[in-house]
Amino acid sequence: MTSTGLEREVHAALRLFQRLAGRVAVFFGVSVLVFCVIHAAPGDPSLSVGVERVESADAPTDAARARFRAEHLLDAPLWRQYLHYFGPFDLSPRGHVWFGGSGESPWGGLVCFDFGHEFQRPTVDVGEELLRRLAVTAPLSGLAILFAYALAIPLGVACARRRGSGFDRWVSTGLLALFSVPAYWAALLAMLVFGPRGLDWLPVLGLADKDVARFDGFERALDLAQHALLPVAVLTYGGLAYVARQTRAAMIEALESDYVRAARSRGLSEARIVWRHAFANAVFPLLTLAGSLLPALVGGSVLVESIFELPGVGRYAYEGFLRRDYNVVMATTLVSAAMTLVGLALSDALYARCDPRFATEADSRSSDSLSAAEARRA
Amino acid sequence: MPFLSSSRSFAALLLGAVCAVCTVVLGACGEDESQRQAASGATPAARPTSESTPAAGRDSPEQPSNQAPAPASAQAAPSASAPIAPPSAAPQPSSASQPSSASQKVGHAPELVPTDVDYFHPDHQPGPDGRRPPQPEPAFGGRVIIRTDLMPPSLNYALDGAAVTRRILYEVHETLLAPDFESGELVPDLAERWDVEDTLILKPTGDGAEARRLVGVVAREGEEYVVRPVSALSSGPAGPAAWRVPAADVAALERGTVLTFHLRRDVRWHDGEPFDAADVGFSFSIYANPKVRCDNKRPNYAAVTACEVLDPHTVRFTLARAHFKALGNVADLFLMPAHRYDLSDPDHARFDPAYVAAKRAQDPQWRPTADEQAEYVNAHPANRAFVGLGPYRVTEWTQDYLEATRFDGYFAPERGGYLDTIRWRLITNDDTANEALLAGDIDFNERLTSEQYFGEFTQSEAFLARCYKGHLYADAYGFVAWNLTRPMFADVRVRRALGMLFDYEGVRANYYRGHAIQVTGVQPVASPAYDWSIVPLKFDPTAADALLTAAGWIDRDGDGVRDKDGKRFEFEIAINTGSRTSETLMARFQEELAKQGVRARVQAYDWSVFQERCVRREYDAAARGWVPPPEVDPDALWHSRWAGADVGASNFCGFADPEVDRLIDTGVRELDDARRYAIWRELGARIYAAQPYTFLFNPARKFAVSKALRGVQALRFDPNYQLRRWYYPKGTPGTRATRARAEPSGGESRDTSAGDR
Repeated sequence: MTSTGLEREVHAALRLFQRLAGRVAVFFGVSVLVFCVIHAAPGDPSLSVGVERVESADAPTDAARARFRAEHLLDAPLWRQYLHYFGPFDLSPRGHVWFGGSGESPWGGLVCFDFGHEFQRPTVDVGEELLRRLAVTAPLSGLAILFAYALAIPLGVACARRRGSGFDRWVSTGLLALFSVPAYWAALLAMLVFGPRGLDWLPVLGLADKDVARFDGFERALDLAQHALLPVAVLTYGGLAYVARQTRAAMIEALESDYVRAARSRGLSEARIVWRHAFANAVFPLLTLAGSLLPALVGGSVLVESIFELPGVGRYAYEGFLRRDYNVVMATTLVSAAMTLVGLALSDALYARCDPRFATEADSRSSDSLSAAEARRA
Repeated sequence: MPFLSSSRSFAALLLGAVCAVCTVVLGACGEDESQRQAASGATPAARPTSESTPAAGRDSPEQPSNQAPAPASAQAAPSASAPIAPPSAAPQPSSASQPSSASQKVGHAPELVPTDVDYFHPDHQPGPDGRRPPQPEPAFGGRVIIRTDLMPPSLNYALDGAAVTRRILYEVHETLLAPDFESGELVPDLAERWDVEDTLILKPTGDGAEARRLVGVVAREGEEYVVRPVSALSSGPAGPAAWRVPAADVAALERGTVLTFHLRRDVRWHDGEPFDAADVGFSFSIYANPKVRCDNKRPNYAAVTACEVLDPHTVRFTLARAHFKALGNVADLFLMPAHRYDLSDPDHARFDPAYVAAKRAQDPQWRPTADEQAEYVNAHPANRAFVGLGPYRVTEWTQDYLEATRFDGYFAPERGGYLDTIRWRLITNDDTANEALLAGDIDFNERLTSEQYFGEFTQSEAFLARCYKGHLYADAYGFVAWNLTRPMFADVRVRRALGMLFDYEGVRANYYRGHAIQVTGVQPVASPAYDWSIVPLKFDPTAADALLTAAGWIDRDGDGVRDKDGKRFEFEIAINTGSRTSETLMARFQEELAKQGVRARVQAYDWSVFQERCVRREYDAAARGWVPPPEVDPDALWHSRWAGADVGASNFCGFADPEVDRLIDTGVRELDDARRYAIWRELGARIYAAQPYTFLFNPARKFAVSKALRGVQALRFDPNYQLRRWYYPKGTPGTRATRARAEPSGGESRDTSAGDR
């Protein structure tokens, strides 16, 4: 390895480290921000302790509230609460002896990947529950993203090639209409059309039949596919419409460019022109988009999950917020935030891979999109 | 772009409950609450009460203010700056123009839904001869799937005392005594009999010795008390079968404070271990351990001073003072298997060997501490992998459902029910629940909205082919609470006038389609303590106008809003976000108020905020609902000791009335039902006269159930139906003629959802 090579390597490693450190800092910035926002939101979590449902008429006893407030440090100053959440020291009454605790559980907090326990179910670890919920949300969202891309790209390309034709107009209008349909409405409609009141083709509840325990392997797979069909379809269509529109726009730009004209004049086959030359250049906006998909994988959809009765992350976050369960809200938000950062890093990497010119520019762009992400969080 | 929804879901978070999808946010004003919890409903509890109520004016309840004598009334509602308006000052409502509805006559319970079995079943309707066809013969076996819109965190009722937990426990657990679902009376369950004795506390003799206590059934005969010990184990001087004490030597008499339960000997836990008094003793002991998370239940047992295990099948509770709920609370003690939970003697066979072995491996001298015991109870796997005493045992608990199957070792098989399997399926979304009902994924949904009940859904072909609908009255009711610490609501005339501006009949007819009862009191309508003789307020703008004018609220500046002392009559009605009932009713109320120059704003708050504002008294008016137990203890709601802000109890009007306090203090110590009901009725009349709430409706609970199921019956008490009476008719596939199963299903229970450990 030459000295310039080594220099370059060191430089690259430094830059990587810099970028990584920046992202970690952003992540903790986000955590502070969310922590402050959720604590500033009106509503007292101790009022729903041990109470059946958030809007239940009965209130917890003073003793239960006092215990809860003490356990979760709710009467401590906010910075102390944050430090407790952040870790590595547990500052609760059972926490580290340095901070006046009994020493039973000295360590904990975010840096130990400890998301705490649910407020309402004190024996349930939020991190573990989140994983259980991810097991529902991630495959569904993953499938939806896959289908959306698999359908949207050919559709967008086809529209771009036949730009202005009847086909393009119809498909574009259709996509716009699809994009405008709210998921909640679509989910209910799908349920009515394909459910027992309509065609009675598909199950509408959960991900498994009530008798799934009696099914064999193949039946189970079939059952799961049937149950997943409607939720995945509803999760897919909006993204499909969006990605198809993006693809079309990018392709139109690419198809009108000089290099495509040059390729045509060289007599290359149409397929080669479209896919090798035009699409390769139109792929960048799609990559940007792909970077923002990762958080969708873990974020879930409140609406779709609640209509199809899926125990996913979206509902978890929503119910956590209703109860002002700070631990649940923090965990779900932070996992989404982390995934956003990873997604951005990934799309940077993909950019660099697809086009070396972006390798250096990536820094400025990524920091731009980071601040955009931050703004969204806020 | 729903699949790119991380930011969207976060936005949804921040928007909180605004989102219309959210079915978890339900309403105040009774409608939704009623469909959720306790109550009763089906038995008419009509009881003209004039003869049993001492209060004056009961026969003319339109003038309840009569009973507030002048000197008392100043304190009667200390927050009322003006005395309660005398009847002459209050213009009599033109009741002729507002006839009370046919189904709600004063002095009588309205026609509530009958308790006949399968009353609503389409195959059980009266024929041309007016007679109902005979019931099909029941078969054993089969499964029923009940929709629940909430899954309890655990089944340990001491730790998680929710109504939904209780409903599941009805099938998988038993208590010492159980309330009869029809009469509400306590009947033997795990205890085959029980003794109730009184405590006679003698005056101290003066030599510093503690006051003597005599235990037995106490009767007063002339100038002396006669104490007759009932149980052979009763304490007291040995010798006579009864002893006499001069009344002058007696310091106090506490009725019903010694409760002795004699347990059945044939009861086994779901894991096969026998049940005995040690289990009861342990189950009680956790309330004395401050680290056990049973704070919400602790007050129920605060008055219990001792729980003695007298022998393996006898256990005795001693209470400090008489309370009408004492027996009920003790009989309802949540029982835990001591052989699983109790660490008190790790050398004894009745403890968790694995846990102790692990501890002893670290420290051979290890002995459990109270804190360790508390932690052990709080996080015990059996809180979810439940070991109970009921006819069904929990066999599976997933994220989606909880399933219980027949327990073959149940001690009273004849009470065990017909079905083999009961599954509670979690469905939070109402629309989804209905589709699931039609698809056969659930068999019973006890929570239909009015639109669903009266609308297209229940008329659809798919519904009629598989299900039928019915309704019953639970005890929930809605109301508008007035914050009495706000000067504008301090005057009872104003509150009464506001109450007269609610269009009761219009709302009942149009919104509830007649399926609601206008309530007047704090006791549930099905309770004998409910006072049907009180005439509910009627919609009467003219009378309201006169009352407001008399109270000094006049539109002086001609801007269309009444004013007094330079302040306009404007206030906010807080409602709970997402409660359609509250929204509709309050919008209607607002309209009528505006016509009379009262400007009300309806403001929706997220539940946690709504509750916080009520508890802190940071509201003007709040539309809410209660789901009372079969007999309400009015203390937390109406006693002045809870009137201050942020004391946690439910008197968030800030209501304080010495006479009400006195009635409550007397009532809670009165163990004679008839006398206590009379006190509650007097209390109810007094509260209704003071109008701290504008009492609204007890709406019918509407349900839908599969036609395949028979034996469905509305009952008075929570949960208003009893799964053990439900069955599939003979000949239904998958059923059999006998209770005993060919091969009892065994195996350990599985918990595949949120684990405790």
